[in-house]
Amino acid sequence: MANDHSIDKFSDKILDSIADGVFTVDQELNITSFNRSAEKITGVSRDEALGQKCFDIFRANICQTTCAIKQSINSGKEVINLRINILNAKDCKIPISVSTAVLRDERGNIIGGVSTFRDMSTIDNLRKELAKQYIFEDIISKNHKIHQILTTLPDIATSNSTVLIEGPSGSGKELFAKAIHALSNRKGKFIALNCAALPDTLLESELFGYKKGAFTEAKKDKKGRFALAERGTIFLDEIGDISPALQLRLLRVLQEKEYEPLGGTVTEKTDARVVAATNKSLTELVACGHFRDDLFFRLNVIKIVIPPLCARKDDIPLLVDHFIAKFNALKEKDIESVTPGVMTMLMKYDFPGNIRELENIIEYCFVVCHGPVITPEHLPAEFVDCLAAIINEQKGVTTAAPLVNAEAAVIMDALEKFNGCRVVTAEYLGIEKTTLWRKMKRYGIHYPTQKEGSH
Amino acid sequence: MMKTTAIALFGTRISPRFDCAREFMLITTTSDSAVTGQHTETINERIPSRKVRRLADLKVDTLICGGIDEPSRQCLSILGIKVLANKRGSVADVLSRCLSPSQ
Repeated sequence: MANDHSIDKFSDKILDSIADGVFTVDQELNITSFNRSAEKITGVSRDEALGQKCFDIFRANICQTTCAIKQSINSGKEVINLRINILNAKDCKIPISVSTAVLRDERGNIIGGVSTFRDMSTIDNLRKELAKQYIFEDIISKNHKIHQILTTLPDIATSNSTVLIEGPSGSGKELFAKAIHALSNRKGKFIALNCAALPDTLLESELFGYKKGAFTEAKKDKKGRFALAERGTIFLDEIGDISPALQLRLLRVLQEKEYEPLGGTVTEKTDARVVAATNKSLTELVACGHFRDDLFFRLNVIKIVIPPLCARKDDIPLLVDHFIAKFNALKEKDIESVTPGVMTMLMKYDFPGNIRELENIIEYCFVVCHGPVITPEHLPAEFVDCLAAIINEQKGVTTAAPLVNAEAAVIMDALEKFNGCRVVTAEYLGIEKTTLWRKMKRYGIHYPTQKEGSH
Repeated sequence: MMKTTAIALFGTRISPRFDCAREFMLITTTSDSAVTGQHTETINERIPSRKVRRLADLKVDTLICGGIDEPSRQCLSILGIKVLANKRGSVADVLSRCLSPSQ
C-alpha cells in the first residue's frame, strides 16, 4: 500500500513536470487526474477540476458533437493532434492541440481515457500575423458601440450591399472590412487598395487593369483589383481622396457593374462587393463639392461609424493584453503585463493615432523592456511628452520640463489613490520604495504619510 | 408579468458552451416563478451573434448557460437579455436554483 502511494506521488511529480496539459477521466468522463500545466492552460485548479465532467471544465468546441476522449473510450483508438479550442476560466477562447487515448486496467478492460493538450495561442498568433488573416473574433472590444456594430455585422456581410466605413486613421477600418468579407458567403478573395497612396493614373490602372500596349511600360495584360476581387470583396480605403475623374469611373462600376481596362475596348463585368472606407466626412466633402453626391449615395448604402479610441477607453486594457500576446509570439519574449502605473498613463492619453498608435507604443516597449513587466521607464519619450502636455493643460500648468511633470503627475495620482501609502504606491508604479522617495523629493511632492498597510 | 428563460442544452445537462449549443429549452414563467409553458427550440446558427439575435427574436429575458465568450455576452446584454453563465449540471438542478421569484 505504501509502495502504491509512493508510485502515485512519483507519477504526479512526473506529470506536473510536463509542459503539456494532461488529464484522465473515467468512463463517465469524470476527471480523475489533472496536472499542473492543465491548471495553467485552463485557469482551473486541480481541486476544482477533479470529479467534474471534462466537458464542464474544458468547454471545447467539440464536446457536444465529436468529443475526442469519448471517441477513444468507445473505439479503443487514439486521436492524435486534433486542433480544437476551449474556453478557459476567464471565458477566453484558447486554441489547443489535443491527443487522446484509452486507459485500460491490468486485465485490458477499458477504465477511462487520457488526454494531453498543448496551448497553440502563440503559434496561431504568429500564423495570423504572417498570413494577415483576421476574423470576426479578432475585433477586440467590450465597448457598447462596437458591439452594436458586431451584432449587425453578420447581416451586413450576407447582404452583399455596398458598405461605407467611417472612422479615424488607425481605428481598425480594414479589420472590419475583412470581418465583413469573412462572414459573407463570397467565395472570392479580399482585395484591398489604399486610394490615397497612388497618383490618379496609377490608381486607375490598379483598379481596372490594363491591356498590352495601353502605355509604354504595358508589356502584357494585367488584371486590375476589380478583376482580382471577382466573387470576392474589394476594399477601397481613403475613398475620400480620389479625384473627380476617378469618382466618375467608380460611379459607373457601382451603377452598371462594368468597366473597361486601360487600353481595352471590351467592357468587363464585375461582381466584386465594394467596401469603402474614409477618415473624412464624405457628407462635408459633398457639401464642399469635392465629392460627387451620386457616388456618395451609391457608397452610403450601409454605413458603419467606428468611434475613435479616445471614445472607448475601456478597450485599452483589452487591446494592451492583445498586443502583448501578439508581440510575445512575434518577438519570442515572455512579457506578462504592464504595471498599473503604465496602464494609468495609457488611459489618460487620447491616442490621436488610435489603435495603431497604441500598437506602436507597445511594440516600442517590447524592444526596450528586458523583464517580465513593462514599466513607465519603457514608454517612448514622445508619448510621455504628449501626455505631460495633456496633463499640464488640464491642470493649467506651463513648464519647460514635460517629462518631469508627467512623472510627477502620475506619482501624485497614485499617492491620492492609495491615501499616501508609499509601499503600495511604489508597488503600483513598479518602482522601489526608495526610488519613490527620491522622486518625491526631486519633484517637491509632499503628501501626508498614512500608516503603512492601510489604504 | 410573464418571463421567458432560455437554457442552453447538452442532452439533459446545461450546455458547457453557449456558442456550441444547438438546442435551447424555453420556459415561460409568471412573476412568482410558476411555469406556464415549456418547449425546446433548435437554433442551428453557426455564428454566435445570429444565435443571440434568434434568442432576442424569441423574446428571451434570461439565458442560462455554461461558458460564454465575451462578445456574445456583450451582444446579449445590448439586446437586454440577462445572462446567468458558468452553470453546470443537470437542467433540473440548475433550474430549481435559478428560477426563483428574485430572478
